[in-house]
Amino acid sequence: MKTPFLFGRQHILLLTVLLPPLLLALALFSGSQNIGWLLNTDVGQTVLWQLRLPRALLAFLVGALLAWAGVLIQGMVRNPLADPGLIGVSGGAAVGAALVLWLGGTGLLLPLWLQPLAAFIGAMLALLIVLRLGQQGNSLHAMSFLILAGIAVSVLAGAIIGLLSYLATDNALRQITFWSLGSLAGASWLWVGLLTVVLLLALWFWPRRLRQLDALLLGEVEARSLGIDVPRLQWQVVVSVALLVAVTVAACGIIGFIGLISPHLARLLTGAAHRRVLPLAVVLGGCLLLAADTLARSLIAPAEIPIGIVTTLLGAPVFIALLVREKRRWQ
Amino acid sequence: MSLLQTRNLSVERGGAAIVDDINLDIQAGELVMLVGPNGAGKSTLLQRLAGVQPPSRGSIHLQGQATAEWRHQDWAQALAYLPQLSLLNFPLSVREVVQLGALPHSHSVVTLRRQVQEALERWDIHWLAERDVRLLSGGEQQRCQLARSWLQMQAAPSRLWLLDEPLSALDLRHQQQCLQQLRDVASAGKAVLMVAHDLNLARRHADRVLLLCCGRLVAEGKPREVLTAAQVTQVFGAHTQLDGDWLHW
Repeated sequence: MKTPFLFGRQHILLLTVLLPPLLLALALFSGSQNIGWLLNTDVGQTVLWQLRLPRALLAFLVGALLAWAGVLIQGMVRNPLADPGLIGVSGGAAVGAALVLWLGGTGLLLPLWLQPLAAFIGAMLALLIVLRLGQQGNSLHAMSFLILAGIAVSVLAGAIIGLLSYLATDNALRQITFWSLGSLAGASWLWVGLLTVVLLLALWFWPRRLRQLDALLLGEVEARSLGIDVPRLQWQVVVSVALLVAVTVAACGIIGFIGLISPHLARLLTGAAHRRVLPLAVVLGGCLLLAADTLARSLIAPAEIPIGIVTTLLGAPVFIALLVREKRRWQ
Repeated sequence: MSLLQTRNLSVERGGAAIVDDINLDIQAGELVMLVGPNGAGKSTLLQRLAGVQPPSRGSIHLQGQATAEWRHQDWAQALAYLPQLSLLNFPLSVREVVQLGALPHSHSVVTLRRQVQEALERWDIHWLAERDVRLLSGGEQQRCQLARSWLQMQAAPSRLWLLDEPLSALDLRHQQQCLQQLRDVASAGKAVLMVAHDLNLARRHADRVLLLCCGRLVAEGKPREVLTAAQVTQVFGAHTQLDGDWLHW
């Protein structure tokens, strides 16, 4: 039977199996040093296994988790243009993280785990405010309200981060700046482990609920009439998105647009059924961020461009193209 | 046996009664049509009967059981409800949308595949099965949603089918086919309650008509007794006369 989408199932399977290892190899061996040095010297080995490998894995994981959050939030608000960053969640998480960094700059000794926790709480608060503002009566599909509310919360988050930066010490200021641009330079096996745990949690929780998400695409009333506890499902999405975004922001700061683009690309390739979109979007998200980080590291090597700048530079034009296409469809 | 029974069902919104003190009894085998002017509360009533939201006051009994404590899952198994046509923003295929009708029930893979295929054929959308729903015409989308809802009705525990203007987007041939499907479901010992706008169609095809106005049940009974020229003129505020067996306006 003819498939309405760009590629057949086999091509997509091949893509998801081949692309990640290929990009991983590229990420490990591109950059400021040559391959022989990396493989044949002790320092090279350390660079390879303690710096480049965790960094590459972290890039993949962050991209994958952001894509996951994107699939969930777009399905829940039934708007393919929603992005976990666009609706203020990343901003909220960054405020939490910046607050901890600022406190650390004042001389307080804070435990290491406080930063991701603060990012998580910030993300939850931002998401709750946005959903509250974007909610019209009983339905959550008041898209323009939701986007506007997200922009409002993002602006507020920006102002708070600005205030904290103004008050911060030089060292804390540098750290806060580093955060808001996003960078994978702080990658370590600890973060790789933590994000793997989050990915495993998501893998445990979501696969049996994918059909519920499909039903939610039909509409809230339709989903209820199919026996789905819609408010409960929406809460599960909210908590999941906040968790996914919070850990990525805690690990490497704000990285825009991966959560928006990956689900879009996946839908273009296989249609909107979540059992196909989710795995594909997650792999694509990982690949995109891995490729973007490799670019960020090698374009002006040995210096590097903050990853958030690269993804936004690539992502903003794609977003504009999507808006134009959406507009054409309704004309 | 009474499949659906409501007592003193009322819905209030912003202090105004949208649905006011409705007492209904729907029997197995019946095809009942709900008619009334815009804003009469037809859709609201149907939505409450479907358990999407609880009523402000009053009770709903399904197959003799009180529903006050039911979960969404219980509702979805006892009845199927099709709201007015809503548009999809995402590229699901026709087959995927239809298949969602099986969500409340557990089917074996083989049964499911067979039933989905039957639904696609009965609603004349089998040749659109792999298409992106968003690219279909309004009538084709409506048939796709009808097929999904029909599939939900196929499971044994589903006894009541509630439909909000199922015919609105359909052409003449598909209206006939749709009415035949509704009749088949009713004949299988289930019951159908649908909102209809075409009064002549209600006169011809309904076993019973419920006439709703301003949230109240103004009249109910045999179609030709309820939808008289005088009654229609009064309730709809549009001058109507009977020409043979045909209402003219």
